[in-house]
Amino acid sequence: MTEVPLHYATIAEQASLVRSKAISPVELTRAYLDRIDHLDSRLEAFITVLSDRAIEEATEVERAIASGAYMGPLHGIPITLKDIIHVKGVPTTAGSRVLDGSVPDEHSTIVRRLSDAGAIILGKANLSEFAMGGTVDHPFGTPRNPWDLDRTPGSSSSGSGVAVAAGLCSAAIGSDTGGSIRGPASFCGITGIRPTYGRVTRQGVVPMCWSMDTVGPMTRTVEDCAIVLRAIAGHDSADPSTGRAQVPDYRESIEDGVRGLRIGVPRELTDFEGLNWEVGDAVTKAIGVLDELGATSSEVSISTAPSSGGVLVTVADTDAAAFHSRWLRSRGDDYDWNTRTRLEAASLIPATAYIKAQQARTLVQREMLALFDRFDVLIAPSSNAPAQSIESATGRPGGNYQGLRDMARRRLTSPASLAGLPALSVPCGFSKSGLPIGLQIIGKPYGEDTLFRTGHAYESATGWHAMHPAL
Amino acid sequence: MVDLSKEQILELTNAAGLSYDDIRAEIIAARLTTVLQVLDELPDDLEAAAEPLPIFTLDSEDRDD
Repeated sequence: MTEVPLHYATIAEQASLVRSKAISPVELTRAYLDRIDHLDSRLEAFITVLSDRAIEEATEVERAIASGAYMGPLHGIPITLKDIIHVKGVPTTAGSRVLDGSVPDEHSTIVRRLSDAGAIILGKANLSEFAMGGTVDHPFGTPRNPWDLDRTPGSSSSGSGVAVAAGLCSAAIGSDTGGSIRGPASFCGITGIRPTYGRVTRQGVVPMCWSMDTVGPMTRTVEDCAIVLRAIAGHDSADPSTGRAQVPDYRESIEDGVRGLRIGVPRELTDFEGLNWEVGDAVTKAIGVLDELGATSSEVSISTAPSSGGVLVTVADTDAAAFHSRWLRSRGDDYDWNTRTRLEAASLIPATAYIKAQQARTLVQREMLALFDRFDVLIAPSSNAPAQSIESATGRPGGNYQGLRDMARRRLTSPASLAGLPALSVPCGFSKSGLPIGLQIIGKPYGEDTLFRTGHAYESATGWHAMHPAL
Repeated sequence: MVDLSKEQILELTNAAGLSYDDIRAEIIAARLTTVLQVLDELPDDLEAAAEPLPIFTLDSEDRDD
């Protein structure tokens, strides 16, 4: 029997309890629904809680398990979805008034795959409007960091991060274009992965940037992340951007350790103006732990990193502006002030600048891919600082926009995003004020297995992942 | 060095039939200036270094089954 409260137990632990019938899917689902009822008015992690539907699904799943039809580690496990992921018959808001009343008539592929694995869909998680980050006015409540309710949980997968960190679900699905899984994972002290571009289908997911969006799991442990990713990854004929690379059982190699692992430590990502010293210190110590476990780390340069933030914003924001062009004209006032301003600014980016950014993107990708001839993973912070206050993050006008300082901090997550590479964030410590710090582990294309074994080795040697906020 | 002003933004958006207030125009000017400044610092001969991607590729990845 697990020693931690059920709501903080890992999927692996919960699956063992469910399989042995020590606990039923209905009990597990009810435990989360009760906790959501108790805490979410303060946390604002959810936009829609599917209480009745989740209990119905759990009841059905319980019958299946009782009849011997156990489907695997996600069978009976309650999962939350970022509210850009379509669930049949359930409104998708994308955290915006613009989509008010929009109800999809079919599941997204991700939901079908989770349901096929026996998972329970618990609800739709709050987020920054249209997954863009920087929302000032959240129409469905402002998500709060469970470690400090006056702090932001990061964006744009804010509600997903909160729900996992606060023990409101077993796992969540978020999305990451320029850091929207890694940021909240870092700020909330949990694990999250931005998979390789094309590893997970985006069919039935509201887009932010069609050439960079990824969808991935957010969990309390690396093993849980591996379990969920296996269930949702793989080619989808309905999404031509998905690759045909086989999906391995990521758990098979997760205990392989890091002996002989070659770690690159990009100096442009670990030593720059704007990097909080506590974050830098925590990451340095984390690299030391991995070296002690048998890895070999050495410094490397990513010359394109300093400009990668500006390149990403040009590409991603312009892609988003194209998607939103019609709504901006007809429903402009329904957007959050900051989101709207960002989209309008992007609408004015010259086409020549966009082309230049895409050319620069090619160079970023080329440089990043070449590094994996010499290294197995790259390590950097997930965010430049711990979570900031909600007041400073949402102050008008312009939210927390700080011009070139914003571009500087974006260099941490932009290289992997621009190059389509997978990147895992795991907790690696806390600031003096008790705020989580995240470690980013970047891999080669379809190298999620290496990320998981690295993250798992680090997690097993430390214990940051086992700490939970006092709620 | 690019340094857009809110007046320039207002001129541009008015010409497009859009009407923005001063604060919005100022923030848009700041965002655009930042992005264009970063892009300005990229090498001039980017197109020589970053050739277009091929349109047709051989699919050499493993298939699912």
